[in-house]
Amino acid sequence: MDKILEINNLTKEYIMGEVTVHALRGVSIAIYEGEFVVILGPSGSGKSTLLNIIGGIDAPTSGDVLFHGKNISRASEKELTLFRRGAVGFVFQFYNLIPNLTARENIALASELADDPIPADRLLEDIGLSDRGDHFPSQLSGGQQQRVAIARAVGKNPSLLLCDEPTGALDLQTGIQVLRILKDFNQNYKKTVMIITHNAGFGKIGDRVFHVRDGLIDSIQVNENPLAPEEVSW
Amino acid sequence: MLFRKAVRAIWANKRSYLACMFLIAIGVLMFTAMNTAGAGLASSALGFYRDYGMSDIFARVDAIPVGMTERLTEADGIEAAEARYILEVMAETPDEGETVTMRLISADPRGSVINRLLIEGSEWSAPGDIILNPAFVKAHGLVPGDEIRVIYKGRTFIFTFCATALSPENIYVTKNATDLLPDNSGFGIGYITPDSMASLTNAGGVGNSVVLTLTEGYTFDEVKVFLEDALTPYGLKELIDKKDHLSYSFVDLEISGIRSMAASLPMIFVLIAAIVLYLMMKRVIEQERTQIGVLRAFGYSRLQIVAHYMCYGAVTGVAGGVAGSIMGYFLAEFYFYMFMEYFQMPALSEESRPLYFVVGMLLAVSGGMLGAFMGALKSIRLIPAEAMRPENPPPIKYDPVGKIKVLRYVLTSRGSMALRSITRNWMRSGFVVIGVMFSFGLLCISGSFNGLIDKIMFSQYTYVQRYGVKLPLVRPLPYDTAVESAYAIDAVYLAEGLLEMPAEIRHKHLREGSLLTGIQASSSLYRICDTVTMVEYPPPADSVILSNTLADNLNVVAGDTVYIASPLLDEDVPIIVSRVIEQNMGGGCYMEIGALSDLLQIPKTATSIILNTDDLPYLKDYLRDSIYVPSVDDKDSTLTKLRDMMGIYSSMYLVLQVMSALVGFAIIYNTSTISLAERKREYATLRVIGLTVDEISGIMNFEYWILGFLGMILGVPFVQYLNMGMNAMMETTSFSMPSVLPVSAYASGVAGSAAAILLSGWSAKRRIRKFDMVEVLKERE
Repeated sequence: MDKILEINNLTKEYIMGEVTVHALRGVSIAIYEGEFVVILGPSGSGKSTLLNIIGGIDAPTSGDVLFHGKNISRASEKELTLFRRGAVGFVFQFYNLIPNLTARENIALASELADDPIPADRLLEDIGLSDRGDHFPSQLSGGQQQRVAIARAVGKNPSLLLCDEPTGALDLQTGIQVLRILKDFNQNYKKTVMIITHNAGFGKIGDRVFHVRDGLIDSIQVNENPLAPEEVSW
Repeated sequence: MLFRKAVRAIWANKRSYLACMFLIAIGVLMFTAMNTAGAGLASSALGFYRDYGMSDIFARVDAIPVGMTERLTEADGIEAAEARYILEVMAETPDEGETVTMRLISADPRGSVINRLLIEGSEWSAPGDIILNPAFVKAHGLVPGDEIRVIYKGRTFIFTFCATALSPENIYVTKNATDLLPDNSGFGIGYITPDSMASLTNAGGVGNSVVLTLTEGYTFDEVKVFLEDALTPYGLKELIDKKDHLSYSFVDLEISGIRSMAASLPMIFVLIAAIVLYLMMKRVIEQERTQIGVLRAFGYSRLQIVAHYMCYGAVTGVAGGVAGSIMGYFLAEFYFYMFMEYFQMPALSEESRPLYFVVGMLLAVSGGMLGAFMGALKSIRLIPAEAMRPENPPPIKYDPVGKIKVLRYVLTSRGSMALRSITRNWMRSGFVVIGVMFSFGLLCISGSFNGLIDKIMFSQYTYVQRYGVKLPLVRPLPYDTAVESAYAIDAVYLAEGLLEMPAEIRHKHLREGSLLTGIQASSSLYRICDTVTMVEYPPPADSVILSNTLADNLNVVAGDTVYIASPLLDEDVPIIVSRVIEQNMGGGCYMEIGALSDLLQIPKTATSIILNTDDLPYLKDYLRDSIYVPSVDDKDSTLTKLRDMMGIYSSMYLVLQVMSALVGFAIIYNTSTISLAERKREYATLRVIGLTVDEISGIMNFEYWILGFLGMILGVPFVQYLNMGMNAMMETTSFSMPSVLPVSAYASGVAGSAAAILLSGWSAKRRIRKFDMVEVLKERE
């Protein structure tokens, strides 16, 4: 498999008044195309910061992030926008759907930006919400909203799907459904998926699991036979 | 401690609060300036009228012995009566040797009771002394001892300027009612002794003007019949009430105009500021919901919480009020300066300034606090535990955008987002529309000034008045004699007579003083023309054409019969109104000259000659010795002077235009700031998805362009309404503003509104660019 992402000695410092917080202290990892990666760590370990830098919505203090060999850590604002537009899909813990667009329109909002989008109706079918396409987010449950958020992220047909605690606000059953969709996207469309979570149970569904602690990669776990989401308990 | 929190919160959103302060400041500025100026003008004028015995009635007669006026006071209701001689002559000043028109008024050096003069300098000490109005003196840079050469009936009389004088009957000085503005260099008033007047007229002991004052409690109508009977033997030409006197009515019109504007415009601005504050506070309460919960949990009462948020409004109100009062002080100075340019009276009273400052501040603070209170009302209803939880997003109950199926195919998702943003918050959208409408209206009105003046000048001096020179005659002459005399002058190649007679026109119970104008049947020098349609009508022989202003005042439409009353007529004469035309300047009532003479039961007569010449200097020189022509009115110099004098108004309207655009900007900027705060998360999400800053700000711009467009569409009838209101304040029987605004006015409205939308769009874009996506997305919905 080819490397989709290579991260070298990444650091991130936040200056908060007189205190400097070291969110990342020199992370180096490589991610391959089609992988399902889980980044696991407790609150404040730096996993969200890592995801944000990978996704081009935050800048590192030092170090490099190479996407298909191109260093995005040195990219301009315009280049980062184009990177997010074409290559990355984001899924957030709190969905972040646009409240005055319907489910279909939320998906189309992202698809309209892509050169080779996946049709919104097909994605609605994939996530089991064909009959809810004309509903607004406020008319959907949390799980349904998160499914629409995933469809929106996938709609652009990105190479890399970044998910920040995608089940953090959901109950168990709904969480499993969401993970199933992410897994299906990974398998059906052969796309790379990175999930960050503090839930250790998720580690079993990833091809590889990066354990983050105090801004460093503590360990890397490789699952030869990852479990299906339905088999996981947390 | 809470006050400190309020101050910091205001500082953090200083631009939005500054915009509110600006709106309040504009309201207070107008309130303070207009009220101060209006009150100053009113108290000064009324004081001058009272202290210097302004006459209640004016009569023009052929000749009346001065001693006869004593008899008039024997009638009930007449307190005093005086006769004087008024004469219009040509005069030359030492500065340029230019011929000007001067109205000479005989004044009793022993002191009159009516229309007493406020003299500055030495009174008449020699027979040839002349006292002049100060504006004329200033315009010509005269100093005591300068010679004024008066040319009358071909003879030259030399007077010596000895002092200046103000008179309550000449506060607003124009040659006649149809003059647009005072012409201080081209027209002056000279007061000379009765003896000096007698040496000019060869008629000692008589007057051609009678002024009267009424006993308290009596009105003009109660003595009118008596005066008509008493003065008819002396050739009564005109009898008018003080309210119809040119100077008095113009001052009155100015005062009432300023007062009505002072009563409405400031309130509108403060109300807009209050609504903006309401929207802002509503948003602040939503944002600080958790903080309110914490404060309530700590034991702060509802009243304390509401008082805290009202503090935001109070601070905004105080700051806006102080700024507005300071600016109002300077604007009032500007008004005073302008009044002193146009109104000739003692220095304006400024006594009422502190009162208006206090009331202005109260207006500002109460407006600010009201807006804040309305916005903070929601905080009263919050229960602490509930307040500490984020608010559930409001469900979308009705989706008009989704109902219009075709929009799905026309609009992108971003377009739908913009349209739904409009329908999501009807109140705010409606407010933006009204704000743009208001700003567009003010922009059009302020931007219309130059265009309107050009239009008036174009239609009046180019289309209506085709003549280059008008020669008023000292007395009416037989038409043919007058015209033949004009043609006898080598430089004249076209001449016609004009008959202009003051009269009263009656329709049912309504009466209006007007100027009857008789025009040659196939006139090529004077056109009766509707200034809206630019259609020309020949002067009718069996009916009259009325101006729209006169027709409105008399409630007349074409086909109605009106009655004409004139001292020349034994009884009122009925005549049909054949047409009503829009007209901005002029007499108001038109007829064919022969027919008008017949109606007035006189031979075909001219009171002035209109003509075209190819050698104006020769004509002026020729007429120096004329015994019939006291002055030469040439159109070109009138136009030049008018354009010069319009400059001061023009700059004032430019300031108003800039302020109007800023008002539009303040409204759009603040509502877009609120929108941005509400949609911060949405826009950050869009940026993460990959939309550029341009694309995101495009969503907001699209929304505001739609609202702005609606505002401008609604602004068109609003402008008509405003224009009607302005016209009602400004129009006189001989002058009105055009009812149709020029295209340039609407263009300036569109340009100003568009500039406001673009500017706030640009500002919003800058703020979107600064969004910290990570921070925004961390927040929980």
